[in-house]
Amino acid sequence: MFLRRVQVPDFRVLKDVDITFEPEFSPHIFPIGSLNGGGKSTLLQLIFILLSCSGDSEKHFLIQNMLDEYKLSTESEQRLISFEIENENEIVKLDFVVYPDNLYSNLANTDDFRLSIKPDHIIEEEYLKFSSLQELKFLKEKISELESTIQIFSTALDNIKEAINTENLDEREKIISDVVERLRKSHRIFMLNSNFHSPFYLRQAIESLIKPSKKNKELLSNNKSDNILLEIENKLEYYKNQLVQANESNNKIENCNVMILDCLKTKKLSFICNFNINPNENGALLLRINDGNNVDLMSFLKKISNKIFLAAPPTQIFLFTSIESRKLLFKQLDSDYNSAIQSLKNRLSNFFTYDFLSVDLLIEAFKFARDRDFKEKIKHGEYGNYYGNLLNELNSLLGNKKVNFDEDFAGVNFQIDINGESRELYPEDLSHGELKRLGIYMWLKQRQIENSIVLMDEIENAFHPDWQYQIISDLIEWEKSNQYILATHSYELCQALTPAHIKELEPKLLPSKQVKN
Amino acid sequence: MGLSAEELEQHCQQILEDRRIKDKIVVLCEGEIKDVDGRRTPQAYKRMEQMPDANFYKKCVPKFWNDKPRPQFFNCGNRKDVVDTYCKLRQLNDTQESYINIEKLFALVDLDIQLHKINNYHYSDTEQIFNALYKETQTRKQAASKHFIWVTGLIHKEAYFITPDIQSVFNDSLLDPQYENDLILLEKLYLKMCHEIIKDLDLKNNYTQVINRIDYCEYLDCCDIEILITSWENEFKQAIIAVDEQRIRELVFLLLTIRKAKEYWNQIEPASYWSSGTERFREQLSLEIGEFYSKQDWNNPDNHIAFFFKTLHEFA
Repeated sequence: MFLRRVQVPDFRVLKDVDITFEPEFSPHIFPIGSLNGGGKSTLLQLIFILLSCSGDSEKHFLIQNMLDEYKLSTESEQRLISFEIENENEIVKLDFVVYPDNLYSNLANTDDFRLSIKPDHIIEEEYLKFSSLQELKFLKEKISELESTIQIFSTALDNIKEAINTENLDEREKIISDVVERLRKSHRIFMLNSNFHSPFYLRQAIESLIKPSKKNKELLSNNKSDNILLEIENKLEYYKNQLVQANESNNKIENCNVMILDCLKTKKLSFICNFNINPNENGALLLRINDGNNVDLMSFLKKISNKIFLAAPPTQIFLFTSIESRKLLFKQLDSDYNSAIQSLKNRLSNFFTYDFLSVDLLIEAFKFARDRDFKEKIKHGEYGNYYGNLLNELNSLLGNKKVNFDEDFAGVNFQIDINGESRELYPEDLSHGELKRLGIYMWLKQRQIENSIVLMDEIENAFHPDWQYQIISDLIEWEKSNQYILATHSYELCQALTPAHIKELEPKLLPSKQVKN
Repeated sequence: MGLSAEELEQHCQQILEDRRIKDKIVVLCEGEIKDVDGRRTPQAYKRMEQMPDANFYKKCVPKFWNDKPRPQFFNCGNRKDVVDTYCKLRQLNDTQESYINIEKLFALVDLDIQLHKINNYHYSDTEQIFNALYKETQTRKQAASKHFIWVTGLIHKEAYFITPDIQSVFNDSLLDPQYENDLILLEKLYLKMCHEIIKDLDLKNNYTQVINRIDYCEYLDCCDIEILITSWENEFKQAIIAVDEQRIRELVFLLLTIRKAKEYWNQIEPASYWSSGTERFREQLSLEIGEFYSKQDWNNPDNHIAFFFKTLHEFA
């Protein structure tokens, strides 16, 4: 997988960006330079989020965060970003475009759309918008839920009626108890009157059905709705009405959606998700896969989501966190922002921050190696060398220092050999740069990042200039098959490559005074 | 055209006042002087039309050099300019404050065909330095630490781009390097170099002096150029048939000590699909070669570049 070209006409600080990465170059490492605030980090994050999250609706909220309050300057299609990606000797061209949510005023005024309207279709303008695709999805989920609820309540009602007609009290009790248990298990019990949540009231209600004694009736007489039979009958009626309404809405939206989807199809567009332009207005993100590509879009998006990675300093502002999380950085408790980042990392396995020491990654890698050794023993009768090899690799990375693990794998410690004598090192004895280098190595190895596009922001931070230069050779040695795109300010790092490898986000000229006025 | 006296003075002042050299080994080498305009940023590096020649040597710094600051390299123009810069820096350092530690100042120049005279240095010319530094195809271990002006053990820096060891770099390179529109087979290139010795007027004119570099070799007949060509070719073909890697390497080193290599390096070209210019291609290939040399055993005097850096490391 190789990113050949990226174009961003206008996104936040990025203006008229057009960068080409040459697949014939060696190595596949491309630093990107710009002035401070020139948009390097924004570019890496935009690439990462769109390519890693578009194919997974569970992650669309990250795209929505990234595009929050994105300014749509026109009423027509606006290109957000374009990619040319080399995949198995084929070049796939992807255009992410945005539209205002109101489809009717844009796409619907085209001939393609008008021609696609069928005579028997009633089009309601209020649904002619991209968000109705999402609305339809929610509506279908609601209909499915309603149908299921109605089915459960109908069965419950039938069973209760059967119980009431049963003369044997024990059998009657069993049927009623089973009904209540089924309602409880299906979580529908909570849809009934709140008093039924109380074991006491529920018991009384059951008792009143099983043994309709005077005492039980008196206990429940204060609130007739407490009668479980009546309650279920009422709820059943209510949900049936809801279902009728939902089906009506569904039919209307579905008609419109057929139009919308037909129209998108003619324009070779796929809907990804909505996002906020402002608190009252939505935009829609769509994706166009260009002519000539016999690639199934969804399977390609899934594939590339596993082949795109982002590494960045934890102190970076991540635009794909929610605006509320970002605002926490200006509060006293910035640890809340760190928690938000940690939570994101748990959901986005391809996202890595250069933490002080990725102990969890180290331990995970060594546990994995230990388990592989053990499997070898079971399979071939002898333990494998994975653990030993990994330890040797790490120690050669650390020079005269050695890493050891606590027996219970709860932590790590480091030792240094000086003139044949071994001394334990404290965290302060290890430089930030050493730990960062170790962390990057472990990340690439443990996540098995190969043949991928690896975006790395400010990789040089905490590195001595010599190490800034050396990190290029390290990346080649650690995993040559990747394409690395490095946002950097380091001249030293660039010197390890040729000037042709370097890409630049050029500052744009300011408009003339006439235009400003 | 070399540097004028004024340009030399200005160039030396820039080096002396460069904070990056404080407490570091400084290596002066051949190559166009490229001043960075303004701050040293990725953008400034990108704006260079060509990669500085010194970047090849910078890439060659051995992996083992990880316990001391890495050397700083400066392009100083042609061979004469490099030597002049070295001498001028020593002179200026006596009279003014600077960031340079003169004990850590080195120059590395090409051996070339013609010798270059050096004033105020304990060897009077490049040929003398060569003879003092190298014995047969090896660097002299004992002598190395006495040298501050080094000459290459082969005729040019570019000769190191086509030594037999580099065949593996060509084979594995993503750049897909080609020679005469085919995959590179260095043996073929060496034979061509040998046949074309006769065309090298510079070598013809300086034959008596140049041949002294290899006259220790008993199995080569060096009495005149034409006989040398036949003798070398016969020995080389026999060594190939016998799969005598040691002899092949020795013969190639002998050839690359006297035969200009730049024009043959320039015949190594990218594949037809390469669209970024031949110069860009050669820059990238030279860095891959530098990466190869950075992994060589620096204790082995056969490895000229690695051993040069090992010597420098002792001064660092």
